[in-house]
Amino acid sequence: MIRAKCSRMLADRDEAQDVAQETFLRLWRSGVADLEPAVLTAWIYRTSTRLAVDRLRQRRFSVNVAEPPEGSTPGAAALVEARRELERIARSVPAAELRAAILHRFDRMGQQEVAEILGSSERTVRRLLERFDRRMEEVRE
Amino acid sequence: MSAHPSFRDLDRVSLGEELPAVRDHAAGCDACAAYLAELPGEAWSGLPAITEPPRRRLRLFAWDGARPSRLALVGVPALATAVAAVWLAALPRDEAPPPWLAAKGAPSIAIFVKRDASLSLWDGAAPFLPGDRIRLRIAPQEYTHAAVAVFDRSTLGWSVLFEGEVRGSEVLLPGSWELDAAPGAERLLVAMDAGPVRLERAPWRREILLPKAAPLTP
Repeated sequence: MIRAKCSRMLADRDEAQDVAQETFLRLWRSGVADLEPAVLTAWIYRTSTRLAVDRLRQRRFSVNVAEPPEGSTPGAAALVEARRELERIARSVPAAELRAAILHRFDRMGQQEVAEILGSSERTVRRLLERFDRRMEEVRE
Repeated sequence: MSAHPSFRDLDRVSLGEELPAVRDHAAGCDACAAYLAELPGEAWSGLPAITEPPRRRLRLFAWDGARPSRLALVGVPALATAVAAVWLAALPRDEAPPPWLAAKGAPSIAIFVKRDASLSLWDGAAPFLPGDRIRLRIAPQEYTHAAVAVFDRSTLGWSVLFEGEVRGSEVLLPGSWELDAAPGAERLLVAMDAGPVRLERAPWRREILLPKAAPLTP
């Protein structure tokens, strides 16, 4: 599950693997591993997304995304395209926007679920996503 | 956002949570069903009972009848398993990794221990208890075949528990083994090669000592 999530976010397999490892390590140490699935998955999505965003923003070079993610999932082609766009602009986008965008676009969450994961209001999430979409439009133009 | 449920909802279902709407969707959606099928959680609910009779008795008992995906555990411990092998490679140096742990880029082995309802990664030193089940995950690197054997003290030779291809970055071996109550440590040999493995000539061999706790006396 963690690996699948990280592979959706990061094109580079090694990088996805690193983030998966780090997420797992934190899970192992956090003591949340015995919690019910809803809480556990929220923790995993929140932590791994944060770690992935940190990676994306630290990158100096973009990664060549040439193929759908491992284990093609619904909308794999669209996912690849979305990831390309994200990686192109990651360094210039605030982390909070990136997190919301990843959860919304890659993990197929609605605004309410994104808000739950990020611990913010739906209104905040809506604003973050709107700002992100505007940036994407600018990039496309 | 999408006609599909979120991946998190699918993950929750795979961990055993009852989400009827998600289940109903997956039942009629090939893509979501395929995603769920790739996650180990749900399949693990069909574990063979721990009391299932072993098929062969060595120092370890082979449990070779179950599919690989059904040999792990339910829920969160299973989640831990999915990444535990790579976790080994990421252990900080001050956490005293097991002596058989390989450097990054070299073949390595992770041993998982199931004790009652818990699953953990063996630290390379903790003694096993009778009834513990172990399962191996191998990172074969450049090798394509592996063999696992246990030393049989009655014949003074190696008894092969597993032999086969191990292509991929990490391979969970299809079988787990239960430790019996016989006294003394068990010797496990893992060998790898670029073709079918001959135990004595394999270019990569590691012998692992599995210590056992002394049996409780009444």
